[in-house]
Amino acid sequence: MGSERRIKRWSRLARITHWLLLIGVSIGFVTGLPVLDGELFGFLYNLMGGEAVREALHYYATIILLAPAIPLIVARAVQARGEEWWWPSWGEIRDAFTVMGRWLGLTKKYPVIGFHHPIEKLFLLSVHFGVLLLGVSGILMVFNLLGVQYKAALLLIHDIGFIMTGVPLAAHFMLAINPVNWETLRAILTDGMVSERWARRHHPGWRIRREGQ
Amino acid sequence: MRPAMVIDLNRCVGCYACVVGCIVENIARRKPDGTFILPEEPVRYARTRPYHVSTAAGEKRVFVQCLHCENPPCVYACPTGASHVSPEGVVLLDSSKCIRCGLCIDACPYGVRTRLMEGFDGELQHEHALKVGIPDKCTFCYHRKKGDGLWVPACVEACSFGARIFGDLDDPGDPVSKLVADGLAVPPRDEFGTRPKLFYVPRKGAYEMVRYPSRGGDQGVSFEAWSWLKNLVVKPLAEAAMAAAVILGVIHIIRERRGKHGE
Repeated sequence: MGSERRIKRWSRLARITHWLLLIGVSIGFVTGLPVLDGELFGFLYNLMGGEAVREALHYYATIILLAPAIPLIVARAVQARGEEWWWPSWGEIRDAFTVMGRWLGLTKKYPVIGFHHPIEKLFLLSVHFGVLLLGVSGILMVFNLLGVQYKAALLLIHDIGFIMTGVPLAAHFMLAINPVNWETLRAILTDGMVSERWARRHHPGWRIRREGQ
Repeated sequence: MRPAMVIDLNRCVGCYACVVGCIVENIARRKPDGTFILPEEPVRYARTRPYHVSTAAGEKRVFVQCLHCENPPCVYACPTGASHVSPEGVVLLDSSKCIRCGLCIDACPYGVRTRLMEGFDGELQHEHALKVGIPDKCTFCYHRKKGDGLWVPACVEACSFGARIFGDLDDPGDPVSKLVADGLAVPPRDEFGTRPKLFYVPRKGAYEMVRYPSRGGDQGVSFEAWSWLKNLVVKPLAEAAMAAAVILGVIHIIRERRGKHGE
Protein backbone atom coordinates (compact mmCIF):
# COMPACT_ATOMS: atom_id res chain seq x y z
CA MET A 1 0.00 0.00 0.00
CA GLY A 2 3.03 2.25 0.56
CA SER A 3 3.48 2.62 -3.19
CA GLU A 4 0.02 4.24 -3.49
CA ARG A 5 0.96 7.01 -1.11
CA ARG A 6 0.71 10.38 -2.80
CA ILE A 7 3.42 12.94 -2.31
CA LYS A 8 3.76 16.61 -3.17
CA ARG A 9 5.92 17.12 -6.26
CA TRP A 10 4.94 20.62 -7.34
CA SER A 11 4.29 23.40 -4.83
CA ARG A 12 1.49 25.91 -5.37
CA LEU A 13 4.14 28.51 -6.32
CA ALA A 14 5.62 26.19 -8.96
CA ARG A 15 2.19 25.41 -10.42
CA ILE A 16 1.10 29.06 -10.63
CA THR A 17 4.42 29.99 -12.26
CA HIS A 18 4.02 27.10 -14.70
CA TRP A 19 0.49 28.15 -15.63
CA LEU A 20 1.59 31.76 -16.19
CA LEU A 21 4.51 30.64 -18.36
CA LEU A 22 2.34 28.09 -20.19
CA ILE A 23 -0.36 30.59 -21.17
CA GLY A 24 1.95 33.59 -21.67
CA VAL A 25 4.52 31.75 -23.77
CA SER A 26 1.83 29.94 -25.80
CA ILE A 27 0.16 33.25 -26.66
CA GLY A 28 3.53 34.78 -27.46
CA PHE A 29 4.42 31.88 -29.76
CA VAL A 30 1.15 31.66 -31.63
CA THR A 31 1.07 35.41 -32.21
CA GLY A 32 4.79 35.68 -32.96
CA LEU A 33 5.24 32.79 -35.37
CA PRO A 34 3.61 34.69 -38.29
CA VAL A 35 6.33 37.33 -37.96
CA LEU A 36 9.13 34.75 -37.73
CA ASP A 37 7.96 32.95 -40.86
CA GLY A 38 4.89 34.46 -42.44
CA GLU A 39 4.93 32.04 -45.38
CA LEU A 40 4.59 29.05 -43.05
CA PHE A 41 2.63 30.50 -40.14
CA GLY A 42 0.80 33.42 -41.77
CA PHE A 43 -2.48 31.50 -41.50
CA LEU A 44 -2.33 31.96 -37.71
CA TYR A 45 -2.62 35.69 -38.26
CA ASN A 46 -5.99 35.31 -39.94
CA LEU A 47 -7.15 32.71 -37.42
CA MET A 48 -6.59 35.08 -34.53
CA GLY A 49 -8.60 37.85 -36.14
CA GLY A 50 -6.15 40.36 -37.55
CA GLU A 51 -3.46 42.77 -36.47
CA ALA A 52 -5.32 44.55 -33.67
CA VAL A 53 -5.96 41.24 -31.88
CA ARG A 54 -2.43 40.00 -32.63
CA GLU A 55 -0.87 43.16 -31.21
CA ALA A 56 -3.06 43.10 -28.11
CA LEU A 57 -2.12 39.49 -27.47
CA HIS A 58 1.54 39.56 -28.49
CA TYR A 59 2.41 42.90 -26.90
CA TYR A 60 0.22 43.17 -23.84
CA ALA A 61 -1.22 39.78 -22.89
CA THR A 62 2.28 38.28 -22.82
CA ILE A 63 3.62 41.12 -20.66
CA ILE A 64 0.65 40.89 -18.28
CA LEU A 65 1.04 37.12 -17.95
CA LEU A 66 4.82 36.82 -17.89
CA ALA A 67 5.67 39.82 -15.70
CA PRO A 68 4.21 38.21 -12.52
CA ALA A 69 6.22 35.08 -13.29
CA ILE A 70 9.45 36.97 -12.52
CA PRO A 71 8.81 37.56 -8.77
CA LEU A 72 7.37 34.05 -8.55
CA ILE A 73 10.53 32.55 -10.05
CA VAL A 74 12.62 34.61 -7.63
CA ALA A 75 10.41 33.54 -4.73
CA ARG A 76 10.74 29.92 -5.82
CA ALA A 77 14.52 30.32 -6.01
CA VAL A 78 14.45 31.51 -2.41
CA GLN A 79 11.99 28.86 -1.17
CA ALA A 80 13.04 25.83 -3.21
CA ARG A 81 14.69 23.17 -1.19
CA GLY A 82 18.12 22.42 -2.72
CA GLU A 83 17.42 19.71 -5.22
CA GLU A 84 14.09 21.24 -6.31
CA TRP A 85 15.82 24.32 -7.71
CA TRP A 86 16.25 24.07 -11.46
CA TRP A 87 19.63 25.77 -11.89
CA PRO A 88 21.94 22.93 -13.02
CA SER A 89 25.28 22.22 -11.38
CA TRP A 90 28.31 21.28 -13.48
CA GLY A 91 27.76 17.67 -12.44
CA GLU A 92 24.17 17.81 -13.71
CA ILE A 93 25.29 19.30 -17.01
CA ARG A 94 27.68 16.35 -17.32
CA ASP A 95 24.82 14.00 -16.37
CA ALA A 96 22.64 15.56 -19.11
CA PHE A 97 25.25 14.67 -21.73
CA THR A 98 25.56 11.17 -20.23
CA VAL A 99 21.79 10.70 -20.66
CA MET A 100 21.99 11.90 -24.27
CA GLY A 101 24.92 9.53 -24.89
CA ARG A 102 22.94 6.66 -23.43
CA TRP A 103 19.95 7.54 -25.63
CA LEU A 104 22.19 7.47 -28.68
CA GLY A 105 23.77 4.17 -27.58
CA LEU A 106 27.20 5.74 -27.01
CA THR A 107 27.48 4.77 -23.35
CA LYS A 108 25.90 2.35 -20.91
CA LYS A 109 26.21 4.74 -17.97
CA TYR A 110 23.08 6.37 -16.60
CA PRO A 111 23.03 8.86 -13.73
CA VAL A 112 20.68 8.57 -10.79
CA ILE A 113 17.82 10.97 -11.55
CA GLY A 114 16.99 13.35 -8.71
CA PHE A 115 13.99 15.64 -8.31
CA HIS A 116 14.64 17.18 -11.75
CA HIS A 117 15.92 15.31 -14.75
CA PRO A 118 19.32 16.86 -15.69
CA ILE A 119 18.16 17.54 -19.28
CA GLU A 120 15.02 19.19 -17.92
CA LYS A 121 17.27 21.51 -15.92
CA LEU A 122 19.16 22.48 -19.06
CA PHE A 123 15.85 23.10 -20.82
CA LEU A 124 14.59 25.28 -17.99
CA LEU A 125 17.82 27.28 -17.90
CA SER A 126 17.54 27.96 -21.63
CA VAL A 127 13.83 28.80 -21.36
CA HIS A 128 14.28 31.27 -18.52
CA PHE A 129 17.12 33.12 -20.26
CA GLY A 130 15.19 32.96 -23.53
CA VAL A 131 12.08 34.46 -21.97
CA LEU A 132 14.25 37.15 -20.39
CA LEU A 133 15.70 38.08 -23.81
CA LEU A 134 12.24 37.97 -25.39
CA GLY A 135 10.80 40.12 -22.62
CA VAL A 136 13.50 42.78 -22.52
CA SER A 137 13.78 43.14 -26.31
CA GLY A 138 9.99 42.94 -26.69
CA ILE A 139 9.25 45.66 -24.14
CA LEU A 140 11.90 47.91 -25.70
CA MET A 141 10.21 47.42 -29.09
CA VAL A 142 6.60 47.73 -27.91
CA PHE A 143 7.22 51.04 -26.18
CA ASN A 144 9.86 52.13 -28.73
CA LEU A 145 12.27 52.96 -25.92
CA LEU A 146 15.44 52.88 -28.03
CA GLY A 147 14.12 54.33 -31.28
CA VAL A 148 13.63 52.63 -34.61
CA GLN A 149 17.33 52.59 -35.45
CA TYR A 150 17.79 49.71 -32.99
CA LYS A 151 14.74 47.77 -34.12
CA ALA A 152 16.71 45.33 -36.28
CA ALA A 153 19.13 44.61 -33.42
CA LEU A 154 16.23 44.11 -31.01
CA LEU A 155 14.54 41.81 -33.49
CA LEU A 156 17.72 39.74 -33.65
CA ILE A 157 17.82 39.48 -29.84
CA HIS A 158 14.12 38.57 -29.92
CA ASP A 159 14.89 35.84 -32.46
CA ILE A 160 17.70 34.43 -30.31
CA GLY A 161 15.37 34.47 -27.31
CA PHE A 162 12.79 32.63 -29.39
CA ILE A 163 15.24 29.86 -30.29
CA MET A 164 16.39 29.56 -26.66
CA THR A 165 12.75 29.25 -25.61
CA GLY A 166 11.04 27.51 -28.50
CA VAL A 167 13.36 24.57 -29.06
CA PRO A 168 13.52 23.39 -25.41
CA LEU A 169 9.78 23.96 -25.06
CA ALA A 170 9.06 21.81 -28.12
CA ALA A 171 11.12 19.05 -26.49
CA HIS A 172 9.50 19.75 -23.10
CA PHE A 173 6.06 19.43 -24.72
CA MET A 174 6.99 16.12 -26.32
CA LEU A 175 8.26 14.80 -22.98
CA ALA A 176 5.10 16.04 -21.25
CA ILE A 177 2.81 14.12 -23.60
CA ASN A 178 4.86 10.94 -23.17
CA PRO A 179 2.47 8.58 -21.31
CA VAL A 180 5.12 7.74 -18.70
CA ASN A 181 5.10 11.40 -17.65
CA TRP A 182 1.34 11.90 -17.52
CA GLU A 183 1.36 11.61 -13.77
CA THR A 184 3.69 14.56 -13.29
CA LEU A 185 1.90 16.43 -16.12
CA ARG A 186 -1.40 16.06 -14.31
CA ALA A 187 0.31 17.07 -11.06
CA ILE A 188 1.80 20.33 -12.42
CA LEU A 189 -1.53 21.27 -13.99
CA THR A 190 -3.71 20.41 -10.98
CA ASP A 191 -2.87 19.55 -7.37
CA GLY A 192 0.88 18.94 -7.55
CA MET A 193 0.60 15.37 -6.18
CA VAL A 194 2.18 12.23 -7.67
CA SER A 195 2.24 8.66 -6.39
CA GLU A 196 5.32 7.61 -4.47
CA ARG A 197 5.61 4.61 -6.79
CA TRP A 198 5.94 6.91 -9.83
CA ALA A 199 8.42 9.11 -7.98
CA ARG A 200 10.60 6.15 -6.93
CA ARG A 201 10.56 4.73 -10.43
CA HIS A 202 11.32 7.91 -12.41
CA HIS A 203 13.25 9.98 -9.88
CA PRO A 204 15.05 7.45 -7.68
CA GLY A 205 17.51 10.09 -6.48
CA TRP A 206 14.73 12.37 -5.21
CA ARG A 207 15.06 12.60 -1.46
CA ILE A 208 11.37 12.37 -0.63
CA ARG A 209 10.51 14.01 2.65
CA ARG A 210 7.99 12.29 4.79
CA GLU A 211 5.58 14.14 7.06
CA GLY A 212 7.40 15.82 9.92
CA GLN A 213 10.83 15.63 8.23
CA MET B 1 14.50 47.89 -67.94
CA ARG B 2 15.02 49.73 -64.63
CA PRO B 3 12.28 52.33 -64.18
CA ALA B 4 13.30 55.40 -62.20
CA MET B 5 11.92 58.85 -61.55
CA VAL B 6 13.51 62.26 -61.38
CA ILE B 7 11.83 65.21 -59.66
CA ASP B 8 13.32 68.48 -60.82
CA LEU B 9 12.83 70.84 -57.89
CA ASN B 10 13.76 73.83 -60.07
CA ARG B 11 10.74 73.16 -62.24
CA CYS B 12 8.34 72.21 -59.47
CA VAL B 13 6.00 75.09 -58.66
CA GLY B 14 4.16 73.25 -55.89
CA CYS B 15 0.83 73.14 -57.67
CA TYR B 16 -0.06 69.74 -56.15
CA ALA B 17 -1.23 68.39 -59.49
CA CYS B 18 0.90 65.28 -58.83
CA VAL B 19 -0.81 64.80 -55.47
CA VAL B 20 -4.27 65.11 -56.99
CA GLY B 21 -3.27 62.82 -59.86
CA CYS B 22 -2.08 60.20 -57.36
CA ILE B 23 -5.24 60.45 -55.26
CA VAL B 24 -7.51 60.09 -58.27
CA GLU B 25 -5.47 57.15 -59.58
CA ASN B 26 -4.62 55.20 -56.42
CA ILE B 27 -6.47 56.46 -53.37
CA ALA B 28 -10.00 57.47 -54.27
CA ARG B 29 -12.59 54.80 -54.75
CA ARG B 30 -15.57 54.82 -57.00
CA LYS B 31 -19.23 54.53 -56.14
CA PRO B 32 -21.38 52.43 -58.46
CA ASP B 33 -22.60 55.67 -60.06
CA GLY B 34 -19.02 56.53 -61.05
CA THR B 35 -18.41 59.33 -58.57
CA PHE B 36 -15.30 59.30 -56.39
CA ILE B 37 -15.09 58.59 -52.66
CA LEU B 38 -12.14 59.94 -50.68
CA PRO B 39 -10.90 58.59 -47.36
CA GLU B 40 -12.80 59.81 -44.33
CA GLU B 41 -11.65 63.03 -42.70
CA PRO B 42 -9.21 63.82 -41.19
CA VAL B 43 -7.22 61.55 -43.47
CA ARG B 44 -5.68 63.37 -46.39
CA TYR B 45 -3.30 61.04 -48.05
CA ALA B 46 -1.49 60.61 -51.31
CA ARG B 47 1.45 58.42 -52.17
CA THR B 48 3.47 61.48 -53.03
CA ARG B 49 3.40 64.05 -50.26
CA PRO B 50 4.85 67.53 -49.75
CA TYR B 51 7.33 68.16 -46.97
CA HIS B 52 8.39 71.62 -45.99
CA VAL B 53 12.09 72.05 -45.39
CA SER B 54 13.35 75.14 -43.61
CA THR B 55 16.34 76.64 -45.35
CA ALA B 56 18.33 79.84 -45.13
CA ALA B 57 16.39 81.04 -48.15
CA GLY B 58 13.05 80.37 -46.46
CA GLU B 59 10.79 77.38 -46.50
CA LYS B 60 11.10 75.01 -49.44
CA ARG B 61 8.80 72.25 -50.47
CA VAL B 62 9.96 68.81 -51.53
CA PHE B 63 7.67 65.99 -52.64
CA VAL B 64 8.46 62.67 -51.00
CA GLN B 65 7.36 59.15 -51.89
CA CYS B 66 8.65 55.58 -52.04
CA LEU B 67 12.14 55.65 -53.52
CA HIS B 68 12.00 52.11 -54.96
CA CYS B 69 15.41 51.29 -53.53
CA GLU B 70 17.56 48.70 -55.23
CA ASN B 71 18.58 47.61 -51.73
CA PRO B 72 15.13 47.84 -50.11
CA PRO B 73 15.04 47.44 -46.29
CA CYS B 74 11.25 47.04 -46.40
CA VAL B 75 11.57 43.96 -48.59
CA TYR B 76 14.26 42.51 -46.32
CA ALA B 77 12.11 43.12 -43.24
CA CYS B 78 8.92 41.56 -44.63
CA PRO B 79 8.36 38.11 -43.06
CA THR B 80 5.92 36.91 -45.71
CA GLY B 81 7.35 38.12 -49.00
CA ALA B 82 4.41 40.51 -49.37
CA SER B 83 6.86 43.35 -49.96
CA HIS B 84 8.70 42.33 -53.08
CA VAL B 85 10.54 43.70 -56.07
CA SER B 86 8.98 43.34 -59.51
CA PRO B 87 11.13 42.00 -62.37
CA GLU B 88 11.61 45.63 -63.44
CA GLY B 89 12.83 46.67 -59.99
CA VAL B 90 9.66 48.38 -58.76
CA VAL B 91 9.06 47.78 -55.04
CA LEU B 92 5.52 46.46 -54.64
CA LEU B 93 3.32 45.05 -51.93
CA ASP B 94 1.13 41.98 -52.38
CA SER B 95 -1.73 42.67 -49.97
CA SER B 96 -2.90 39.04 -50.08
CA LYS B 97 0.37 38.01 -48.38
CA CYS B 98 0.57 40.96 -45.96
CA ILE B 99 -0.01 40.13 -42.29
CA ARG B 100 0.12 43.83 -41.32
CA CYS B 101 2.99 43.37 -38.87
CA GLY B 102 4.29 46.83 -39.76
CA LEU B 103 7.96 45.83 -40.00
CA CYS B 104 8.22 47.44 -43.43
CA ILE B 105 7.09 50.75 -41.93
CA ASP B 106 9.81 50.52 -39.29
CA ALA B 107 12.41 49.36 -41.79
CA CYS B 108 12.03 52.23 -44.27
CA PRO B 109 14.68 54.81 -43.33
CA TYR B 110 12.82 57.48 -45.30
CA GLY B 111 9.56 56.84 -43.46
CA VAL B 112 7.53 56.75 -46.65
CA ARG B 113 5.38 53.74 -45.82
CA THR B 114 2.08 54.65 -44.25
CA ARG B 115 -0.84 52.63 -43.01
CA LEU B 116 -4.29 54.15 -43.08
CA MET B 117 -6.66 52.74 -40.52
CA GLU B 118 -9.68 54.86 -41.50
CA GLY B 119 -12.20 52.91 -43.47
CA PHE B 120 -13.96 54.03 -46.59
CA ASP B 121 -16.31 52.31 -48.94
CA GLY B 122 -16.32 51.90 -52.67
CA GLU B 123 -14.59 49.71 -55.18
CA LEU B 124 -10.83 49.61 -55.61
CA GLN B 125 -9.82 51.03 -58.95
CA HIS B 126 -7.03 48.49 -59.47
CA GLU B 127 -5.13 45.78 -57.57
CA HIS B 128 -2.40 48.16 -56.38
CA ALA B 129 -4.83 50.80 -55.08
CA LEU B 130 -4.72 51.81 -51.42
CA LYS B 131 -6.19 49.24 -49.05
CA VAL B 132 -7.14 50.18 -45.51
CA GLY B 133 -4.87 48.61 -42.88
CA ILE B 134 -2.19 47.56 -45.39
CA PRO B 135 1.06 49.57 -45.38
CA ASP B 136 0.80 51.77 -48.44
CA LYS B 137 3.40 53.19 -50.78
CA CYS B 138 4.00 54.48 -54.27
CA THR B 139 4.07 51.77 -56.91
CA PHE B 140 5.18 53.99 -59.81
CA CYS B 141 1.58 53.21 -60.94
CA TYR B 142 2.68 49.69 -61.81
CA HIS B 143 -0.89 48.80 -62.74
CA ARG B 144 -0.44 51.01 -65.81
CA LYS B 145 2.26 48.72 -67.17
CA LYS B 146 1.20 47.03 -70.37
CA GLY B 147 3.56 44.85 -72.35
CA ASP B 148 7.31 45.31 -72.16
CA GLY B 149 7.46 49.06 -72.59
CA LEU B 150 7.74 51.86 -70.08
CA TRP B 151 4.54 53.32 -68.74
CA VAL B 152 3.63 56.76 -67.41
CA PRO B 153 2.75 57.14 -63.70
CA ALA B 154 -0.24 59.34 -62.87
CA CYS B 155 1.86 62.00 -61.12
CA VAL B 156 4.13 62.34 -64.15
CA GLU B 157 1.11 62.61 -66.41
CA ALA B 158 -0.42 65.26 -64.15
CA CYS B 159 2.68 67.48 -63.95
CA SER B 160 2.28 70.31 -66.46
CA PHE B 161 5.75 71.75 -65.81
CA GLY B 162 7.84 68.71 -66.67
CA ALA B 163 9.15 68.54 -63.12
CA ARG B 164 8.58 64.81 -62.95
CA ILE B 165 10.35 62.59 -65.43
CA PHE B 166 9.94 58.84 -65.58
CA GLY B 167 12.47 56.78 -67.49
CA ASP B 168 14.70 53.79 -67.79
CA LEU B 169 18.08 53.74 -66.05
CA ASP B 170 19.22 50.91 -68.30
CA ASP B 171 18.74 53.04 -71.42
CA PRO B 172 21.74 55.40 -71.72
CA GLY B 173 19.76 57.66 -74.06
CA ASP B 174 16.86 58.11 -71.65
CA PRO B 175 16.59 61.63 -70.12
CA VAL B 176 16.42 60.15 -66.62
CA SER B 177 19.51 58.07 -67.27
CA LYS B 178 21.38 61.11 -68.62
CA LEU B 179 20.42 63.33 -65.66
CA VAL B 180 21.66 60.68 -63.25
CA ALA B 181 24.82 59.95 -65.24
CA ASP B 182 25.64 63.67 -65.43
CA GLY B 183 25.21 64.02 -61.69
CA LEU B 184 22.46 66.58 -62.09
CA ALA B 185 19.90 64.26 -60.49
CA VAL B 186 20.96 62.86 -57.14
CA PRO B 187 19.48 60.29 -54.75
CA PRO B 188 18.47 61.69 -51.36
CA ARG B 189 20.41 60.61 -48.28
CA ASP B 190 22.80 58.40 -50.16
CA GLU B 191 24.38 57.49 -46.80
CA PHE B 192 21.49 55.10 -46.08
CA GLY B 193 22.98 52.81 -48.72
CA THR B 194 19.60 51.76 -50.08
CA ARG B 195 20.34 52.94 -53.66
CA PRO B 196 17.06 54.72 -54.39
CA LYS B 197 15.61 54.96 -57.89
CA LEU B 198 13.93 58.27 -57.13
CA PHE B 199 16.28 61.15 -57.86
CA TYR B 200 16.01 64.90 -57.41
CA VAL B 201 17.48 67.77 -59.34
CA PRO B 202 18.04 70.06 -56.34
CA ARG B 203 17.67 73.79 -56.24
CA LYS B 204 20.77 75.91 -55.72
CA GLY B 205 22.25 75.09 -52.32
CA ALA B 206 20.60 71.65 -52.32
CA TYR B 207 19.01 72.35 -48.94
CA GLU B 208 16.21 69.93 -49.62
CA MET B 209 18.69 67.12 -50.12
CA VAL B 210 20.65 67.94 -46.97
CA ARG B 211 17.45 68.07 -44.91
CA TYR B 212 15.54 65.46 -46.87
CA PRO B 213 12.99 63.86 -44.55
CA SER B 214 14.06 60.66 -42.87
CA ARG B 215 12.57 58.80 -40.00
CA GLY B 216 14.50 58.74 -36.72
CA GLY B 217 17.98 59.45 -38.03
CA ASP B 218 20.40 56.93 -39.45
CA GLN B 219 19.58 53.25 -39.18
CA GLY B 220 21.93 52.05 -36.42
CA VAL B 221 21.62 48.41 -37.41
CA SER B 222 20.66 47.44 -40.89
CA PHE B 223 17.51 45.47 -41.60
CA GLU B 224 19.44 43.85 -44.43
CA ALA B 225 21.87 42.29 -41.92
CA TRP B 226 19.03 41.16 -39.68
CA SER B 227 17.10 39.76 -42.62
CA TRP B 228 20.18 37.93 -43.88
CA LEU B 229 20.81 36.38 -40.45
CA LYS B 230 17.14 35.59 -39.98
CA ASN B 231 16.63 33.89 -43.33
CA LEU B 232 19.95 32.10 -43.42
CA VAL B 233 20.41 31.15 -39.77
CA VAL B 234 17.61 31.95 -37.33
CA LYS B 235 14.57 30.73 -39.25
CA PRO B 236 16.04 27.44 -40.56
CA LEU B 237 17.71 26.77 -37.20
CA ALA B 238 14.55 27.44 -35.18
CA GLU B 239 12.29 25.43 -37.45
CA ALA B 240 14.72 22.53 -37.93
CA ALA B 241 15.51 22.34 -34.20
CA MET B 242 11.83 22.42 -33.22
CA ALA B 243 10.99 19.79 -35.83
CA ALA B 244 13.92 17.67 -34.57
CA ALA B 245 12.68 18.03 -30.99
CA VAL B 246 9.23 16.82 -32.01
CA ILE B 247 10.58 13.91 -34.10
CA LEU B 248 13.03 12.82 -31.38
CA GLY B 249 10.20 13.13 -28.86
CA VAL B 250 8.02 10.78 -30.92
CA ILE B 251 10.93 8.32 -31.29
CA HIS B 252 11.50 8.51 -27.53
CA ILE B 253 7.84 7.75 -26.81
CA ILE B 254 7.89 4.78 -29.20
CA ARG B 255 11.13 3.43 -27.71
CA GLU B 256 9.80 3.75 -24.17
CA ARG B 257 6.55 1.97 -25.09
CA ARG B 258 8.49 -0.84 -26.77
CA GLY B 259 10.79 -1.09 -23.73
CA LYS B 260 7.80 -1.20 -21.40
CA HIS B 261 6.16 -3.97 -23.41
CA GLY B 262 9.47 -5.84 -23.57
CA GLU B 263 9.87 -5.80 -19.78
